[in-house]
Amino acid sequence: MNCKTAQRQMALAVGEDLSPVESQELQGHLQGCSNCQQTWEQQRRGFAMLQRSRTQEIHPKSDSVWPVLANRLREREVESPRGEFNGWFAALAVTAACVLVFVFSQESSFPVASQPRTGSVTGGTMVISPADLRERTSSGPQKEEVRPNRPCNSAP
Amino acid sequence: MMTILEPQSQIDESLHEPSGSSDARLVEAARHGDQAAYGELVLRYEQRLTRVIYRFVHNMETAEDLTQETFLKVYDRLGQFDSSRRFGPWLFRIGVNLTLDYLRRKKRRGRWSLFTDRWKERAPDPPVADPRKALDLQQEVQKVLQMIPENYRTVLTLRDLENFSTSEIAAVLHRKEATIRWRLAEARHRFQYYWGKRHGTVLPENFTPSESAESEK
Ligand SMILES: [Zn+2]
Repeated sequence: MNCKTAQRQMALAVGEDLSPVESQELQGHLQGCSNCQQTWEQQRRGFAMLQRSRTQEIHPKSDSVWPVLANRLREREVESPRGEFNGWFAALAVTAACVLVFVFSQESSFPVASQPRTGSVTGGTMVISPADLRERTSSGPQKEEVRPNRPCNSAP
Repeated sequence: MMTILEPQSQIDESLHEPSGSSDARLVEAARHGDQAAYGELVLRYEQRLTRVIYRFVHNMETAEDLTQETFLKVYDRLGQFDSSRRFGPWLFRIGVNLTLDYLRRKKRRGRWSLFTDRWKERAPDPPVADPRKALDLQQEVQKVLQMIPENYRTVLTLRDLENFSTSEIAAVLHRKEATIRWRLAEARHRFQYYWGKRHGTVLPENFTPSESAESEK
């Protein structure tokens, strides 16, 4: 083991992060290397400082975040039925549009399949509440947003 | 005679499931809309999570806010959780990432645009109950930790201040354990180095922090 490797291993050894075999190898090196012995003492001192500094107890201010969190989740749940209500309107609007398109397409000579994309414009956007938009910065799963699109998209 | 202690079993209160319903079962119930089940998961992990976040932000209100945000984010992502894995590391990964993002934003933002962020700027908590010497030591350790790059500091904080095992850190940070050990060694090296520099400790000649990029061994 050279001194460079020994130093890396020492940094792990101070926190007991070496395997028994690695530990023995390092000890072998240290016995014959005064330079590394000095480093070892320094390492131990630095590590001791770190350990001493962690003794401060950390106490959360509130007993639990759950009551507040549960409220926030409930608030979002309250918002989502409104979302579904809007979703119903959206779905109705889309269905109506599809029916109209269908009726017109029957009257004209265009084939049905080329028409219905007009309906999907009103579909997905209405059901996501502002709070959701604010909160869901992640691309997490969103339950209600896609449903109203389907009646029309499935038509072609 | 020099002795190097051999690895002992890690004291680990954080990522091992407490008794009772398994995390997996609670996650499954929460996925199906059972908020009480999710509440139980929150109660299981919140204290530990808040403590870990506090180690990074040094302000309890911020730590609690971030804890809440973490649990909201986790709730939204329950559908993405791979149930063949453990819930604890996944939760802590989201929490640590959220915290690091917060700190990066705070650093980028600097001092002038405080009002643009919904997070209030909060000074570090004064560690009231401690004797003067302990205060100085903590503040001094913090200063030195800030000199260490984030990659290394994160590992050092989790291992040496919060007692996570290297394999747990690997799971939390989604890296190989070898990489974590590499970062840990580098972080302890640097801590020692900067500590020595600030406090006039004579450093051995061959002792400098490595400049090389880490190898993903
Ligand atoms: Zn040597």
